[in-house]
Order: sequence, then C-alpha cells, then structure tokens
Amino acid sequence: MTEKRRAATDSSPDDRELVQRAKGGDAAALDLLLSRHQGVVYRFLLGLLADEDAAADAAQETFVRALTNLNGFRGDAAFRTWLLAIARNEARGMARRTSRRKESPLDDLPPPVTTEPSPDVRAVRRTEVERVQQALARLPEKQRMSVSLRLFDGLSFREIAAATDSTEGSARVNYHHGVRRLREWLHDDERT
Amino acid sequence: MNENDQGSPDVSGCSEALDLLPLRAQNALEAREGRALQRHLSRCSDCAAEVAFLEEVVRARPEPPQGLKVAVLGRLRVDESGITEATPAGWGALVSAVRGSQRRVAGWGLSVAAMVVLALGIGILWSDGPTTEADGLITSVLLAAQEDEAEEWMVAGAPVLDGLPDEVLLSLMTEMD
Repeated sequence: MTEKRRAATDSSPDDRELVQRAKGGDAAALDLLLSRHQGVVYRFLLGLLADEDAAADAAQETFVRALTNLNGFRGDAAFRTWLLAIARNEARGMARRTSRRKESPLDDLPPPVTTEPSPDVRAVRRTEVERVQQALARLPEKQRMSVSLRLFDGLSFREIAAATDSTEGSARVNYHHGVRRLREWLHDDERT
Repeated sequence: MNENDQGSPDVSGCSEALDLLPLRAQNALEAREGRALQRHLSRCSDCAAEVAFLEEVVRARPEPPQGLKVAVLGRLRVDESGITEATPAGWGALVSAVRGSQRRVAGWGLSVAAMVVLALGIGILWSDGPTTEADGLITSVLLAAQEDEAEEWMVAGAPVLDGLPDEVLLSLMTEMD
C-alpha cells in the first residue's frame, strides 16, 4: 500500500523518519525498515528472476547495498520506489552473471531429465496456492509484475510504473490483462 | 474515486469499486472506504465475485524466507556514524557463528578464571610460598574476568575478538571446531 495509505492505517513511523533514524545508527529503525519492505522486495525479485533462491540472494544484496548507501537516498521518491530500483539493477546483474555462467563450457551440461510426477506428488501440487502461483508464473513479465505489486503489495499504478520502467497507463492495462488471464486459466483449470 | 474526499468515498460504480478491490483483498482499506465498498458489493454480484477471486489470488502471496532479515543484519555494522561496513555475501552466517561462539566463551570466562585461580592457589600452597609472579598472574586473570563481565565480546585471557579481520575470525573458528 502507498505510504499515505499506510500512515492512515498504521501508527508506526513513516519511512522518511525511519531512514533518518537509521542513518544515525538506530538499529530499531533499521529493523523496522527491513520488516516493512522485505516482502515487496523479495516478491518483486521473484517476479523478475522466477527462482526462489535467486530472489532471496538478490533481496539480500539489494538491502545491503541500499542500507549501506542510505546517504544516496535523497527522498525525492518514496523509499520503496528507491529500493525497487536497486532491486531491479541487482536482478539485471544477476541475470547477466547467470547468462555468462551458462555460456561457460564447464556448465555446458545436458538439461536434467524431467519425469512425470507421481499421482501423489501431483495431488500435493494441486493445492490452491500452488495452482495460483503456477498461473502467475505463466503470465508475461510485465503483467506478472503488475499483478504481484498491485495485489500482493498494494502499490499504486504510478509506483508500479516506476518499478517496472513503464508508464502508469501501461501498468494499469498490464494489471487488468493479467488478472483477466489468471481468472480464465484458474477457472478453466477448475473445470478440467 | 477522489481519495482526498473528506466524506464517504463514491463507490457507486464498478470502476471505482475495482480500484479498491485489491486493497480490500489485503485488508488495507480505510474504514470509510470499506463501508462504501461493502455497500456496493451488497448490490453488485459481479464485483462480489471479483473480490472473492482476488482474495483467492492474494492467499497465494509468496512470503520472503524467514532468515532474510537476519542475514541482512548479519552483514551490517550499525553504530552512531550510521550503517557502515558490509560483509560480503556468505560471510554473514560465519560472522554470526563466530560472535555466537564469543558470547558462549565469554559466559565461561568467570568459571575458567576461578579454575585458574584455584589451580594457582594449590600450586602456591605446594610451593615454598607465594611469589610475585603468581600474584601478578592471579590479578591479571581476575581483572580479565571482571572486564569480561562488563563487555560480552571480551574473552578472559584473550584479546578482544570483535574488530578482528574476517580471515582471523575464520581461523579462530577452525581452531575452535
């Protein structure tokens, strides 16, 4: 949710105050900033990298980079927007590194053999949560990011546009297209 | 909908309601917005169905790994000058482990000091008499133990570990294992 909305429903200090306190070495402020933003940063990176371990690593790097460079945060944008910009750079760097490793002859191994999961495994996978997550993963990146940031973290379309390097209108369209596709897929899935 | 409205927001149309549905699904609506939206949902089955669907999606929200915050904090040094030195990736857990060992060792400090004093005392009794060197050693061990009580990072009879380079901490860890 936006900072203004958060302030209306939550009496804890706003990000600007927490950042100032953290700059002065206030560990409690740092802790609260991390608690407040670790979810959105992780989910944002999961949407970009589509890998839980990579997203966790990139989230850790994002926070370390951001928090050790707090003086670089001028406060022109929301703290969350600034964090997501750092996260996007981190994801790009990680993707480049992964791509280079894949080109290395040592890593030029055949893909693992995939087998059909057993009926039991299939049954476990068909939980409601996994079904939705699998459908989300099928969405094109911009739609997936818009749906995730809007639905899971309550970002405004303006914030989504800044985070995904698009326009506010595109973010809105991507969100609505993404939700419509999800509904079609999940309802089709229920019928089959 | 105009969010600056002081009164009850206008959620008479589906488009206004649709903008609020994601926030409703996250329980992030202000009270007056919630009431207005509820009025709309009570007479619009399409939006009610949409809210049920969005809530189903929100239940699948991925959560960050539990250790993420601890891992980040383990790589930061926070003091009056702000947040400074970052430990490279992969070292956070090691540093935490070393510091945990320091705390454990520090807790043993007083007991170790007592045993050393006892051993020295027995040695003095068996010798011809107390020597100046033995007195000095007992005093230094007791002083170290007192400092240990005051500063948890200090280990009795050992240099302060906090502030040592990571390479040295790593070698200490290896020796302790």
